[in-house]
Amino acid sequence: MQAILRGGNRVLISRSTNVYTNLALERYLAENIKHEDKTRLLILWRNKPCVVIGRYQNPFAESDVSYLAENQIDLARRYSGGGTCYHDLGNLNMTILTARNGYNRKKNLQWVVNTLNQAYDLNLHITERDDIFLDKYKVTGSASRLERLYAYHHFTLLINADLNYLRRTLKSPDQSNIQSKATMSVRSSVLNLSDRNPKITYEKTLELLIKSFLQWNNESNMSNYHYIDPLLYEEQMKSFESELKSEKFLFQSTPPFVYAIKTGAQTIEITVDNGLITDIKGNDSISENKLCRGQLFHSVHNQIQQLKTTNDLSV
Amino acid sequence: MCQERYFTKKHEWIQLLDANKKSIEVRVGISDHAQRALGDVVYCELPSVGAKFKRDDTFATLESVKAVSDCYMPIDGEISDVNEKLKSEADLINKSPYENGWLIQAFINDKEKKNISSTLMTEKQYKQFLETNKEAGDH
Repeated sequence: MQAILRGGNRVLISRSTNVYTNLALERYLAENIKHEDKTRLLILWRNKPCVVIGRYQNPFAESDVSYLAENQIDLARRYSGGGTCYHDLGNLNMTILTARNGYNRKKNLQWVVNTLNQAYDLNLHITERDDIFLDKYKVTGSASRLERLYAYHHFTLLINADLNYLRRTLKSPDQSNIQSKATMSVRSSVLNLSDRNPKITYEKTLELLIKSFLQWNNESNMSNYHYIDPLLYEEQMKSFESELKSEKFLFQSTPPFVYAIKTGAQTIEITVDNGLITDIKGNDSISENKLCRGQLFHSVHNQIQQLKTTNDLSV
Repeated sequence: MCQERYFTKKHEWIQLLDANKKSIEVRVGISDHAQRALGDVVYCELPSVGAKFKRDDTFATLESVKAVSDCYMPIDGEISDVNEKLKSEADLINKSPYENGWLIQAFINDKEKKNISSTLMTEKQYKQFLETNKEAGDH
């Protein structure tokens, strides 16, 4: 068996900053490690600027998809639940992977809160929704995936991310047009830890968390942490990475929704199921605009935006 | 409907529907214990009618308080109906796990029908199972 697939209490730090690679690595480890009871694996990772949506969310309702594409910001759907977040190199992601019966989000967050409060003299607290707040500002959001044999809980930690960019990427021009039962993000005011205490850096926090994680889990070998280069496991991770990058997973696995455009006289309603436009009501001229049934919504999204602008002007 | 409910260790229940029909049909959902453990269900992904599943296959996926988890088939079967109401009211699973919050119905064969009582737990056995496993998972 490969060394990275060993069970037990350990820490892995990914050298990749690609969101698809890191999500694929997380899934690959979850699916292939021989999970032992009462042990935890911690994966630490960060990404270049990207937006990550929850498993049952609508990317158009949660972010500015066109802006992301124009600015080469990756958009990814993760396998876990919850809401949308923006990542960049100033945001640390942590995944705690356990056997299914070792899943405990509160304990994981308590470890983070205790560690950071003690080291940085902060007053972080855990909320009912398993987020971490500093005063009334959110610094950590949680999500998790439970499978037959394993479970993982992953969460973000804002250390010194670009908050203006965060707000811009998550500003959806489509949100008010979309009617759906997809999971909605709960929006919160956010804060970087480094804004509270400039001594808090990514590197320092990483080191601190590695040490305290091994102590928490009574791991006597304090050097039981390893940097890994996911490229070395490219072949084994390939199926997960290509699924994560595919339009099928990103767009077509969006829960069904209706996209409504109010024009002067009437409302145009575009019904989308599995990413496909299945019905258009309210305007015959649209089908002439090549927005016909059977098209993939994301491939005609720009035209829909144009249609919206044209109609808004005509009102 | 007064047929007995049987339970899996993964907290799904199964119940035989009206036995007068030619085909044998069952209804499947998750237990009250399971819905409590999950918390508020906000989204529910259900299979298509006609899909065939083996015992232990994932047939539905639920999202609750930011956690995504799967539901597993108690026995082999072919989906005959899904609870369409859950598409707009996923929280019926919390409000009424044994009645309005059922997940799917499926056709099963004679052999599987016999398997229900021989491989799954009765409500009484399931309660005992929950009692003995109460402390598990807390480390």
